[in-house]
Amino acid sequence: MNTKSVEPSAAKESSVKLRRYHAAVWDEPLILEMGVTGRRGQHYPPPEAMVTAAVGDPLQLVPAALRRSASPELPEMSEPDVLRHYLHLAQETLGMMGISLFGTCTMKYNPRLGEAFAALPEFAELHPGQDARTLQGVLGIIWRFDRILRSLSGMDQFVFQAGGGAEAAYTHACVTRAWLAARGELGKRNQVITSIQSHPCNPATAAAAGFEVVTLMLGERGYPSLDALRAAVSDRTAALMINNPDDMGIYNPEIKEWVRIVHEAGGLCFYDHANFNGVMSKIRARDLGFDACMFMLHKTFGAPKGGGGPAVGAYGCSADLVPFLPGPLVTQRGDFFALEDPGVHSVGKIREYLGNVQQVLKAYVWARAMGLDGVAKASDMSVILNNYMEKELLKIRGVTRSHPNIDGWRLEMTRFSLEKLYEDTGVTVFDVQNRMVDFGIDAFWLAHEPWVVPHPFTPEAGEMWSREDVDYWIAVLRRISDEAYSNPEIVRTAPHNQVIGKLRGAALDEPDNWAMTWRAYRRKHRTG
Amino acid sequence: MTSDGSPREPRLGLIVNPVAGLGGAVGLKGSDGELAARARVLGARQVAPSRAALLLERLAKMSPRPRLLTCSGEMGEGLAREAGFDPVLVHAPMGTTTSAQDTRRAAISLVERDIDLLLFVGGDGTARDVLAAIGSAIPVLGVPAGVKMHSAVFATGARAAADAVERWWQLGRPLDHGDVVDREPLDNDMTPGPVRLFGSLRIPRVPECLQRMKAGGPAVDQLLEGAIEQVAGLVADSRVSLLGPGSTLLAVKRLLGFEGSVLGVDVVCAGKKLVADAGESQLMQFVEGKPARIVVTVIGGQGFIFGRGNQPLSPRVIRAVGIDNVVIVASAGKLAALPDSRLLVDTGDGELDRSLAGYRPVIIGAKRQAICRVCAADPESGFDS
Repeated sequence: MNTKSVEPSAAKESSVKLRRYHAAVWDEPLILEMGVTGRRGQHYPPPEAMVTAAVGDPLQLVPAALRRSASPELPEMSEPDVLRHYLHLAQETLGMMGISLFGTCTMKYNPRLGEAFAALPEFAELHPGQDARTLQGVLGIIWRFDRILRSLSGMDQFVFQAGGGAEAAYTHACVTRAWLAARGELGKRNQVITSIQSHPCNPATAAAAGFEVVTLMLGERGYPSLDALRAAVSDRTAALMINNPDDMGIYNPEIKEWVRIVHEAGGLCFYDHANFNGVMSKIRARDLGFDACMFMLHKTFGAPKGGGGPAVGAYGCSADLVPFLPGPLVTQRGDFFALEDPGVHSVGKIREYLGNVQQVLKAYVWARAMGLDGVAKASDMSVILNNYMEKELLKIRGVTRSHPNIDGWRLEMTRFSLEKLYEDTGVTVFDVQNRMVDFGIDAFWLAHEPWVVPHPFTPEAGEMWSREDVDYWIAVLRRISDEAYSNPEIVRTAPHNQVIGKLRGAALDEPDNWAMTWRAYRRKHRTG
Repeated sequence: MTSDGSPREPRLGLIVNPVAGLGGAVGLKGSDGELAARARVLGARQVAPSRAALLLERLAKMSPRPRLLTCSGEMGEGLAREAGFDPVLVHAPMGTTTSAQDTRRAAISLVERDIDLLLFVGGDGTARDVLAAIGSAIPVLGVPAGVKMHSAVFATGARAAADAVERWWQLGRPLDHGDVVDREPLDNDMTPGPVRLFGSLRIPRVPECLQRMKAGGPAVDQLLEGAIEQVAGLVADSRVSLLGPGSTLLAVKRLLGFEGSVLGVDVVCAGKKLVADAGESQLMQFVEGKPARIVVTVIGGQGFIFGRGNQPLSPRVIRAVGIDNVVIVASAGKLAALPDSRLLVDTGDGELDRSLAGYRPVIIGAKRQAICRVCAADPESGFDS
């Protein structure tokens, strides 16, 4: 297999003392099971006579069409019971209490400053349907942040509608379709090229937009070869959608030539900047020839990650593609910020209004606080810390990395493997994940599928974590490796110090059992 | 359910190959045949019994508690009793040391006793013995304890095997197919030969507990289902299609509605089977001078698409069909696990191998293809070892 072992004798004894830890266990029921008939959080007095005299029955102020015919079946609870319930649940999560080096995701701390700005009533109480004349402050922030991203990418226009990276990739697939239609090539150019270790949203969104997907496999240098790309392009090529570095952390230095080849074949080039942290301010997508790119504000720019909810994939493109963007666009006319429809070629809306604007505000606060120098330093730190971590992790028995023969630094993350640990001890990468949370740190991320190395894992420290934090994380992995070789049972049966025991991952594939709502739960489990 | 409404107990067959894994401990490439004796001389310790004990310890806690059928002595009985089972014995090893014959006879006896699942503790060699004895008569799951475990019929470990059994039972016993592959030693012990496909076993469909050819994952398996449908659609046209061996193409054959050959080449036209398990001269009759295509998958763990396990697709047949009419289908996981995702050809005709070399598309999903480098297997390059 494509991995390399470092002799355990090279491992230095860790000086890090692991702290005692045990998660809070509340065995908390669902809130919907906790109600008691008649119990209330607040008792409100009836409206005073003066009020009723002035406005009549307050209930009649609610339009008939919006009034419920029956009360909602919510649990009836006291206020402290509700607070206790959610406090218990909060205590049962690891959250930011532990160290989270969740690779390929660039999980960043969300500064309180951004949260404080987003909570200001001048911002929080805005409605996107207001007249643009009353939205000048927030439109100004969007306009300025667009300029910041332009300077980091060289692109000519950004939009913030996409509610995540995958939606931004989908935006590009839609823009490509509209661009082809305008050129009379839709249907003829029906293939999108990507690479096996680019984020899976690239092939997925291309397929969702109706394209065939051509995937390039990794070559001997850790990224696909130019010859493979030359074999893939044709008069059917619509676009290239790719990460660089991809999830192996290896930067493809031939990327300019890639763009040239795809352009020569007649396709567009999209740079998925999911892994931007390692190259922030070092390269610009447009300078490399790309037609479009995407930044994840909820990863790279310090805004919270929302799991398909309040995230933002900022999509930027060259002037040639602006007519195809989803609208409206924020433009400046003198001192006035306006909302403009991009025109008849627009792909329409990707999301309602302007997207998750509160994330744009938080990302803007982060970018202004960091400054260009700060962004450059953050990028350097993420690469230095990863390479420090790599050297230390490779000293741990059973840990190897992908492409061991490729010299040079990985960027902000490295793809490791526990194949040797598994072969020596029978302990799997899943077992190690389960054991990590026994020490109060988040389990690592494995890898997107397909796995290029068996039993993979991909930590990413970014610029957020201190040397002490990273050393602690390494010490935990070293302890678990020692356990695997001396007492594998303790790892195989983990977690032991957590809220619940081992989870059955396959439960996700059982639609007859899982439920997204209380009503569905009761129906599927016949609980009344 | 039983007549009184309680869930029926699973009937599990167990074969422990006590010599499995012996060779690995002392640096041999297997424990087949004489290698086991040699390993013992070199001081090897048994690994299969401890794995079997772990399996049985977990199975004893399963609800409903399984009924266990096994062999006497160290092929299962002793460990089963230690774990609290009162096993039904179906086979007694004849000599003082167990052999491949014992595995085969035990497997046949277990099938005759109407078991739900056969668990074997061993490696690729044991898997081959089980396959040779019972084919796809009943579902089989391997508990890894051998030196070589390239076959896609093993759980990730002994406990995972027990988890797999329990989960499989709860899910209503869904089934899948897993290839049995093995390397045969070239010169008795130290030099491993090329990986060969020996056939396919029916296995429990519990991917999270299985060691799937050391690669892949559920998303990759789902993607492959799309590829299988696409190939089935492709060969529904009027062109003659030669479908090669392997479980991927077996799935295509099943989707077309016939039980095709696992190891052989089947001839299909308009989605209908014309001939199963055809030889080279039969294939030539179908393709000479007519529009045709060859559909192959990646054989074994080394990336071969021609020259291993599909010999009826000879240089003469490939030339008659034309190399532009060769369609390759494989799971993305299988490709990703190959060194640099390289595919190999070794048709025995160097010139043809060189013509086949280069970058070629491989169908990995519905409207999904991967571009892979195909290389001529040069014995000196180290690819074929």
